Amino acid sequence: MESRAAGGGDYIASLLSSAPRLDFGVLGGVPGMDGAAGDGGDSLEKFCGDPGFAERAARLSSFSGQRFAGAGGLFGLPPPALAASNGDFGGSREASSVSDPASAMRDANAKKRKAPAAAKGKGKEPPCQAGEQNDSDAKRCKTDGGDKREESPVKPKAEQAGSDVSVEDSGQKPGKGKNAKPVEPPKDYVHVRARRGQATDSHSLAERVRRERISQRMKVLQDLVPGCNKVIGKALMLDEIINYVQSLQRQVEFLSMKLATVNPVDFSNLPALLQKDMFQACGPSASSVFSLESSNSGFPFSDQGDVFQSFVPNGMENQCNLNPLDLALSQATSAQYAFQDGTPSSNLQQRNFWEEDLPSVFQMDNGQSQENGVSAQSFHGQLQAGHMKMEF
Amino acid sequence: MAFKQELLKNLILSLRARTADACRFSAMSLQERKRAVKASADVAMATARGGGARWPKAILAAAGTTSSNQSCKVRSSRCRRVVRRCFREKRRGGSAAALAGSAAASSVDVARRLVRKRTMALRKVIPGADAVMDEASLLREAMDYVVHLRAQVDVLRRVSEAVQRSSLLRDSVWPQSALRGKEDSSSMRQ
Repeated sequence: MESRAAGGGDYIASLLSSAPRLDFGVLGGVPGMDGAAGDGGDSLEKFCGDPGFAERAARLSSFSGQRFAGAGGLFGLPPPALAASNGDFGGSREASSVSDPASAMRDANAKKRKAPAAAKGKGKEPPCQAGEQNDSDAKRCKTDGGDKREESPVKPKAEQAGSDVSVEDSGQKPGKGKNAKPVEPPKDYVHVRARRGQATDSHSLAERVRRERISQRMKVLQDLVPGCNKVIGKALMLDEIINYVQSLQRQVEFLSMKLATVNPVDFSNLPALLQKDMFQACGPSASSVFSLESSNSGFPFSDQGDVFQSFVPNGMENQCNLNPLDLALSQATSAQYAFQDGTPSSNLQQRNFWEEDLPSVFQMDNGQSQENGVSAQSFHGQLQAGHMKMEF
Repeated sequence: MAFKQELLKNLILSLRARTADACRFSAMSLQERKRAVKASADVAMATARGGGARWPKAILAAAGTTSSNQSCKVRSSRCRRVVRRCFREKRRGGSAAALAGSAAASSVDVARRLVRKRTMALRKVIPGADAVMDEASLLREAMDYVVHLRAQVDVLRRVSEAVQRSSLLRDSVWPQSALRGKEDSSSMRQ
């Protein structure tokens, strides 16, 4: 679990990009796009640059007429239901909804796109991927066969090739006879290979890409959330995720309640107390926290002068205690921190509290125990005591 | 781990800022104090996370607009109620699907409805995810939030343990004997 809590966005990026999928690693998002596009837009941006897109689109359009027949009939979702949920997924996949002039059509597209997303777990359409995913996709395509439900035309990005529109439209119209939706201009830039027996128009391909993205993220979430491995199916997975998030939030509440019961209220010694914790968990880099502490702690100390002064006598007592404990415990690690903390008296407080913390180390399970720092530590402790005497 | 350190630092700073007025802090009820601590923890987590996701901004916005921590609690309880209601409906929907089970289309519709409800419930649980994103980014936000929430829980647990340990030390009896000995030596040092 420790390893999982690594630096936020990088960790998520690594999770997403570790799977052999489309490049989701780009987390920065495209500034020009809607916020909804997020990192999805990035991968599409990549595809935009493909020079071969035009010819591929032409090829796709030729197929679209045949392929779409099966897809159109499976649009069993009533539009009102979609409309209700449209707000949720209104951010069209690649966030072009804002800029596209045919916004009405786009809304319909978004609705249709929602349907396949919702039913993704149930009737999995044979997904089509960009060239990287050939193997797994081929398998999945074969298993699902021609099970093409709700092939919703995907709403791609703002910049598109207008030439594709007319071609795709004509191809889609016959197939979508059952759908109340009018033809939507395909603005798809996703370069996905069309599989045998699949709808190959750009919408469905982009839709499959999107679905693949979602399923990939669901897999990552499955690894994150404990106990999700046995669960199969989108709804159950989401259920587990929600439960997990809620339980974590409840834990936070409980722990904050626990912290609130602390009496007396003194959070000044926390850096020292936790130094051992952090050091244990993550190595010497923990000392950086406390150097930051000292640099940032100018204002709190001025604010809580009263607290500090009331605390200082305690610090003195404990500090005097600690020297024999130092010797007994031989905490070289703390000695390192003592020297790293610098010498100005502004750091005195931290070092005091750090010294105070040493008995707590007894209870902690410290793996390291080095002898060489002990003498330095005790000397330092005595120096501390001397300082304390002088100042107070 | 860097995030945890950053979170810890922010947490300590914000807690100190809040408890600067020690008298006022002690005068607050336990609930209020808990809320204050939780708000500090959330703000610390959000600021430590930075700008890579949507939920930190939502947390900070919520913390900024509300002068007290009351609304946060209310909001979270409201979210819980909503989620519970959603789950109740889901369960009903699930049983109905099992009973009906006739046409494949209806079960698919029910399943789709379930997924949609759960997606909405997930949006409510994750801060800042309300009806702004499509499903893929919602899942990504959830991922991000889960990771950092876990780190926050871990940091809070360590902090509470450390504080408890220190308070135990302060109250415990065994240092007294050592203290007496040390006092002699320190006085001699002078």
